[in-house]
Amino acid sequence: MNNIDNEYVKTLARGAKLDFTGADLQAWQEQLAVAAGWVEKISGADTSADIDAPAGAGVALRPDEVKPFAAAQTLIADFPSSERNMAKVKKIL
Amino acid sequence: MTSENKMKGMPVVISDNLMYAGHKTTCASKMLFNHTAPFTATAVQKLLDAGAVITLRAPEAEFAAGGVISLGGNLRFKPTYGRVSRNGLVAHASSMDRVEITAASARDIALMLSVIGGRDAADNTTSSLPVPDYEQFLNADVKGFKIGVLENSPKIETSAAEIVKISLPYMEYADACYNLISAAEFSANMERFDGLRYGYAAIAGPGEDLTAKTRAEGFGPEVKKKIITGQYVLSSENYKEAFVKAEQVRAKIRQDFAVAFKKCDVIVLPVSLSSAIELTGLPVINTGSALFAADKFKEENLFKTLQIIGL
Repeated sequence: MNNIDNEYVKTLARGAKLDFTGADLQAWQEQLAVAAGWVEKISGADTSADIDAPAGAGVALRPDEVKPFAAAQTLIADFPSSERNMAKVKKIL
Repeated sequence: MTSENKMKGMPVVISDNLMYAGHKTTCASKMLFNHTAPFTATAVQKLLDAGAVITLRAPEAEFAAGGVISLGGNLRFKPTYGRVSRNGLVAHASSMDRVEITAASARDIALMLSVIGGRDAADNTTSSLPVPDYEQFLNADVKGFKIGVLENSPKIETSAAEIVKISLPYMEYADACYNLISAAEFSANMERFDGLRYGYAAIAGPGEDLTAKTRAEGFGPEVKKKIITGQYVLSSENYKEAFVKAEQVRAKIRQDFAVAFKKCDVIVLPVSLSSAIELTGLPVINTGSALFAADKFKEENLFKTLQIIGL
């Protein structure tokens, strides 16, 4: 992985078609350091087996929104404000 | 009741990233400050067809690149990915983008989803499953329902359903995974703003790059940071460790939920654990923290916010 210095940030900016004249390169550098932390974090996840992850796979498991509705109605019902309905909340939870 | 009358006269606020023909759609960005929508988003058209009255455009963070609008005492519902058409919704992270509904009650959400849900030829990711009348399920008996909660979760007690403990071991990676994938997709989606086709265009002098100058002047700081991050994730030297690995972790997170849903009907999590839901595209209802703000909930380690996730 590259060292995240000023030159590297400028290289990325050129790739992203972003003019960096007068830009807050320090803020971008800090942001990339955070992103490097995210990469480090997921590197610890075991993804060795049974992986079938095509890029951009954002599909749901099985569309069925019915159950959350029934549960929502029971658990939180119609609570427009906390104070007015606290009695109902206490009764249910 | 016919679809035309379902929402007759109901005032609806739509966010500033949904197209509404003849009206400005700016995404709170200088890049689109003067952009008039050339067509109407499918979801908005369905609301209009059902008799709803569009009253306002809700403000948002620039291209939704940062900050979350407070729910107050309202509920927020994210339908299953593909339930509501994204046609006319300005793209942010395409594999996660959903048209959300915020309302004061589950009933209003159910009504709106019945109206805006469904297959749309203009969005090939929409499901062709028929759209039920969600309102009829509101008073369904939940006796025998199993509610899944994490082992170390705040307490939840209800006589209406059974509480079962579940485990989502890959949850700890969800935030990092979400941040990497959403930045990558966001940066790709922002490429269309080049100063040539539509939106803001800078005045470039001799030797200046029009597109680079337009994007530097047209995007705000949070958008630029997210674009740079996406560029980092998708760069050839990081692509495998950052993007591919994140997609693999995402698959594991989806597997976690698939396993958990074998034990329960719905899962209740604190709202703070929302990244995993974005990654899976599962339907979810969120409560605003105002609902459970009383001291009692803190003292007794009860949920202070809830998200109810379905399958």
